[in-house]
Amino acid sequence: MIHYEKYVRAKSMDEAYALVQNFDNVILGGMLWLNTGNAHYGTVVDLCDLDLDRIKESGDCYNIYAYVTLGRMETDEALNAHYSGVFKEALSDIEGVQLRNMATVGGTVNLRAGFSDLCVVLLAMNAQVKLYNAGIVSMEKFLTMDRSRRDVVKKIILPKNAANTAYQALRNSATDIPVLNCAVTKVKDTLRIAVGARPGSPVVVTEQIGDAKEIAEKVAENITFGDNVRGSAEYRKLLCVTLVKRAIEQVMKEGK
Amino acid sequence: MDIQMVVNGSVVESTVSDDTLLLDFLRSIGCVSVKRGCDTASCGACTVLMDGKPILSCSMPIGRANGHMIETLEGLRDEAKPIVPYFAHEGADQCGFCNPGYMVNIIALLRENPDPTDAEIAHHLVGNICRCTGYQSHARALRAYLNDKKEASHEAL
Repeated sequence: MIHYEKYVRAKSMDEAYALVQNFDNVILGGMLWLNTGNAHYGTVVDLCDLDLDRIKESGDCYNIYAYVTLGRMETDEALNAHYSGVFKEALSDIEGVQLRNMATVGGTVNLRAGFSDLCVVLLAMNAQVKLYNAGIVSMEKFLTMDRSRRDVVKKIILPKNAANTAYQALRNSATDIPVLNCAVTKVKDTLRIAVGARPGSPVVVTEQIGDAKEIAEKVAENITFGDNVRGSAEYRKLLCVTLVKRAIEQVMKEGK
Repeated sequence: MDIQMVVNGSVVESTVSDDTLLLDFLRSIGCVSVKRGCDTASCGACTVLMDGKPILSCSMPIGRANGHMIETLEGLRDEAKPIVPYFAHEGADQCGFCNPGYMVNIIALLRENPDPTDAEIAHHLVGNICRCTGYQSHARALRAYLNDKKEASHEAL
């Protein structure tokens, strides 16, 4: 269980950024992952007063602000209509409805968990992360950025041209962390294929459209997998071929 | 920290320490239906409604709940009452520890979707863990309640 001395509702991003430069302080997000540990913090910083629970469509993108919950992304009609329901598909198996009503997009992305269902979809979509200080960086870069440089996630920018995205995952039981997950985005003749829960950080590769099985086998061959309690590297490699193939077939279908 | 929120329809004001969780605050004012189970947002025993949405009070800092509307089973008795006999009849009420969380989440489901399918029920209640019943009795109880309710409304026509 999390322990802290002081709770602060930040009045501005400036204040939040300044507070988290002290490594004794932390931004709360949904306070779900933080609450599974036993860490002590000086000040926990809540961004709930900064109007960050918005989804805003603008020009060629959707802006998903940091305090939008996973539940909102899962059920937002406009978002799911544009992206063929991929968020509903990818997020609806994360724990229960109560947790998804609390977990925030910013907290989930900032955690950069290897198994994250959301991160793997954002990576395939070539989404961008708007950080308060560092500015806009690609999801790909964000996943490998130095975590000791403290910043504040303000929003995620989803390109509209990533509408054709499919998600696949295998879980040992419903609501468990996936053994492996993947997402494929098709833009014109190019496929962006992201694979997560390897169990390391999600990775992305780009391929030209072609035979789904051949591409999936090539992807599995070029990605490194590891062992953990949920599955072996060998099993994950086999799963990768099947899941990536299914996701490619989905995006190749008309209308998906 | 000074807080003010609406709990079960009544305005509640208090001074609490910064690291208070909503769960502990609610229990301290007598809402003991809210149970501490896992403490890590996994079991659903602490489920309450915040602004009408089911959330886990074990992971809700009191500072964030400040200014919001909270409903616990104590305030949802009228909505829960017709469902309770079905829980008893189907054996969904054994040790009873998980039941308040279940009931609050069921009420949230039925407010949003008054006629859910079995799959929708299972999906909605997946965040509520029960270590006694194996879940089938909850599913049977809710199905029986919904069927009887539907039948009664047809008869009324």
